[in-house]
Amino acid sequence: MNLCPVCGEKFLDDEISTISSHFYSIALSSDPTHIMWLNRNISKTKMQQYALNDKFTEFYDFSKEGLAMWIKKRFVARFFNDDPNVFVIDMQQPSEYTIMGYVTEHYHFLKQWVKSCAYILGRTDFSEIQKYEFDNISEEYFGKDGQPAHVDLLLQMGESVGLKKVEVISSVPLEKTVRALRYWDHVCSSEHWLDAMVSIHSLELIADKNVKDYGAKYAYFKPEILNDGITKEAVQFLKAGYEADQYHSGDALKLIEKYARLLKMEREVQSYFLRSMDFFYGYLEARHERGKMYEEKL
Amino acid sequence: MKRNYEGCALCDGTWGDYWREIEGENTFFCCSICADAFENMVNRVKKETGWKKIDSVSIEGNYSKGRDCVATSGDNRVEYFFRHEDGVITEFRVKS
Ligand SMILES: [Zn+2]
Ligand SMILES: [Zn+2]
Repeated sequence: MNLCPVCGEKFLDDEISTISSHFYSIALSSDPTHIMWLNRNISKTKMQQYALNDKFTEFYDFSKEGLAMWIKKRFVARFFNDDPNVFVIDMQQPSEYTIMGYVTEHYHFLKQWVKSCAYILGRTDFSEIQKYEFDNISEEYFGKDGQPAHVDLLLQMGESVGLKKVEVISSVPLEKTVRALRYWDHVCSSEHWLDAMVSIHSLELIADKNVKDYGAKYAYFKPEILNDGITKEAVQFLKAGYEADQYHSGDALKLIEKYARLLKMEREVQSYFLRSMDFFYGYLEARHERGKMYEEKL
Repeated sequence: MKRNYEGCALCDGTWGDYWREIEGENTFFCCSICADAFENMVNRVKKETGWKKIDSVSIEGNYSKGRDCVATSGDNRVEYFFRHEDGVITEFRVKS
């Protein structure tokens, strides 16, 4: 099966022609979301259906580098290109408001994250997947090997720029965050565990320190800010993500590549990844919006 | 109205087939969101400048970067920047 990365419509087969003709006919009716997706990923120029099909074949082709690298490169092209996400721009020179916006929206993200991981753990029978999710849950939410949990480091980072923990915990996430969290909750609780896995763990590429190897023009942040520039607590939080390579996207993507091949789910895994990435894009915009709100309030 | 794009008046894309009358002229857009953004932008320029009509608009940029524009009316000219979200103008700045 496959699904449309824009509207989520499911297709029984995973032929490229099925998905490309879906886009072709919906673009004819001037649907904004599908057209924006075509403009961004395929071409701004309208073409014949057969030509669009060729472009989609090219777009989905991972035969040269493998599925994991295809995901890395697509992610980098979306978030770290010449025209990066607005929150990636904020992070190049983070102000205290950037950090505050980050903390508030990300607190809600992590609350969903731990549930998403647990759904995957509960819905697979492969023990190496369960072990992976178990470690991830521990590290993010409960603390592992005597280390503080990432969620605690996040809240401490907020406190260090004057954002009270209670304010974060009692906040209501912004609309784009809510929309994304609702989507991930749905995928992880109801769709195949592998589709769930790619939907959430591909997103950890945002903090991958190797993004420049996959063509990124920017990194999530400049490593120099770990030496000076922001608070000690912010450094601790960012470092924890930055240095926890083994649990971040690298390992997950290897597992995803392996099981997608084994279970013959490669195409749908690609589409779930693409769809999730767009929700994540909006979620990062929400971090920026929240930062702006703090800036205007103070 | 003279425009620098041959495709959609806002984004220059050629997908879609959405038409709306802008300043008395039937104008091509790829979708209703681009049409809303363009129409709101034109109205905002007229409000800021007090112009009765706009002769030309040229646009450079995109959704995430925002758009740098030049509009003219007779001998008058204005440079500005704007962003939109779902067709609603979220940022508008006349450049000095
Ligand atoms: Zn669709
Ligand atoms: Zn358009």
